[in-house]
Amino acid sequence: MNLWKEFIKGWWKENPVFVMVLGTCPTLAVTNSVRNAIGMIAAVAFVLLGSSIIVSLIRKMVPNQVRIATFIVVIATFVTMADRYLAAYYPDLSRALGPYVPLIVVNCIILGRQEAFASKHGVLESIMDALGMSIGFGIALILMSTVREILGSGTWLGMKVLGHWFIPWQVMILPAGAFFVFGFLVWGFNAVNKAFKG
Amino acid sequence: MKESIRMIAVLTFFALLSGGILGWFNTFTEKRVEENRLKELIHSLQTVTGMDPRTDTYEIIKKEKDFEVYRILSGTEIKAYAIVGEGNGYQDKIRLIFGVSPDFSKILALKILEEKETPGLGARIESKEYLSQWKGKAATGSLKLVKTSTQNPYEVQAISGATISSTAVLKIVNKSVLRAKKIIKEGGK
Amino acid sequence: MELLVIFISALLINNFVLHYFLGICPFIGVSNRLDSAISMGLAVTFVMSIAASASWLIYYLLLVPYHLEFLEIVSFILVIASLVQVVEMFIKKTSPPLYQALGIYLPLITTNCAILGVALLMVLKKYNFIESLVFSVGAGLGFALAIVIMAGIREELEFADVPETLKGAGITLIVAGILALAFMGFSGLV
Repeated sequence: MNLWKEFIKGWWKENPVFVMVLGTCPTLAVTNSVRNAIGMIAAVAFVLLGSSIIVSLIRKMVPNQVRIATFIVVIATFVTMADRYLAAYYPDLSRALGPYVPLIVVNCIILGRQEAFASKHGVLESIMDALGMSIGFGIALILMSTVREILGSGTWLGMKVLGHWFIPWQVMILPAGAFFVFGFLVWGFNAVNKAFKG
Repeated sequence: MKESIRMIAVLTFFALLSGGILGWFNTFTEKRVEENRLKELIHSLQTVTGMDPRTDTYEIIKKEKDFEVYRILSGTEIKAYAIVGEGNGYQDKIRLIFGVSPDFSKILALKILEEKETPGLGARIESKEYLSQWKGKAATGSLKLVKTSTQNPYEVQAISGATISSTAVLKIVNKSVLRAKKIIKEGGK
Repeated sequence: MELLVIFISALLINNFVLHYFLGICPFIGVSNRLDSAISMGLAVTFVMSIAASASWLIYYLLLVPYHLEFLEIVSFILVIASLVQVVEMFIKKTSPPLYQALGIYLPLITTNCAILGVALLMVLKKYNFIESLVFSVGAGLGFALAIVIMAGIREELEFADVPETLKGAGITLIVAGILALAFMGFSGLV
């Protein structure tokens, strides 16, 4: 029961992107197409899950003062593995994501979860927390990229969804579009959360 | 004192472990990455010079950060040259490759390797309609940009609404042709 | 000439915040007051140029000769983290007034993705040492410019009637979108 709660809290109530406004950089940068977003979600989920497991395993043997430095080394190791794997097996995706895969190292969601959760909880709970947060991050990125790709190119995951009558809003693929969509989605999340509370 | 030794020991241990794991992981991916790079190069050479990878070979004449020249050989006969050039576009660097006939009389084909131009406008330099007109243009290094449709081998038509991107591509081609010509003349066939 | 292009490009055309989306966290967090935005911008520029130089030296003098490029991410993040600590201690000792102005922002900078971003991009763009330095200063000033403009707008926004649920991150992001549109006017400058 408790595990289930750790699992689903990240989906909506504590959504890392829209409610906590963490990990904004990939949310804005790689959501110009759904394909890029999926690549990013997979990389982040891998890093988050891997480092949560390791951090919760080693949490008792790491002295408090070097806690953050050790976490960063663990995270950077997983990020490098993800980055090299993408470069070797998905070169197109790797080029499209560019520096944003290595930048997962400084993604506040990952270090934040290690600091706030994995370093204080057992392996099983940490796995649940990591999976839940990854799903929350995934929901956010899929939402963002769906809006941007459909309005910006008239396609979804490369498939045509809007007919020839539709003139793509190119601004949606540009950086400005990313800020607008993100801003409006944060607004929507807050409004819904407030409505349910009130 | 004891505490600080423990700190250093733990951190060193994890740093070494991380280096070891990554080194081991890298042995698997490094070869793949290199293979991907070669495959991509051969594919580009094929597109711009019509090289047949089963029978033809290529050799590197020049390889710099922003400029590369390849010679495509069919047996001992020179089939074409391929030139990679780079320059500033509207938003960021544009990097492209194009093939030139062995006597440097005409351009065979052009391909954009990297660009970050505005989607829908400048990014149309990657469109078939724009790229196909390059076939048969004169490789003299003095091509001119015009606004109307043209069959003249010394003129290239600009994309409407993306004059800066079109100019950038033209400048890169002109500059690279002259540079490659000079190198080949000096290096000899 | 090439250096000027790199500088203008990092400062305006490919602005770190509005084009690469780097350093968004402090951009949203610290941009509500003008004076703190200026300090943050200067602190980032300062650390960024030092971090870029240090990372460049490590990458090209240590990692490349020994074929250890795969340690890029690990070593860059460690260099940046320890550098911030050293800079903090150094400023505290040598210039207390500067420490008072920048001090509280320095720890925040370690997790600022713009710093790591500058190091990664300079490797990706194959810049030499001088180019990297110019690039990092341009990127830092670009960040400062964006955050200062944003702070100016947000100070005015406090008097505007923004819907309750849009306040904070929401409206900041939408304003950032408008700024990004405005900055598109700089494209084609070089």
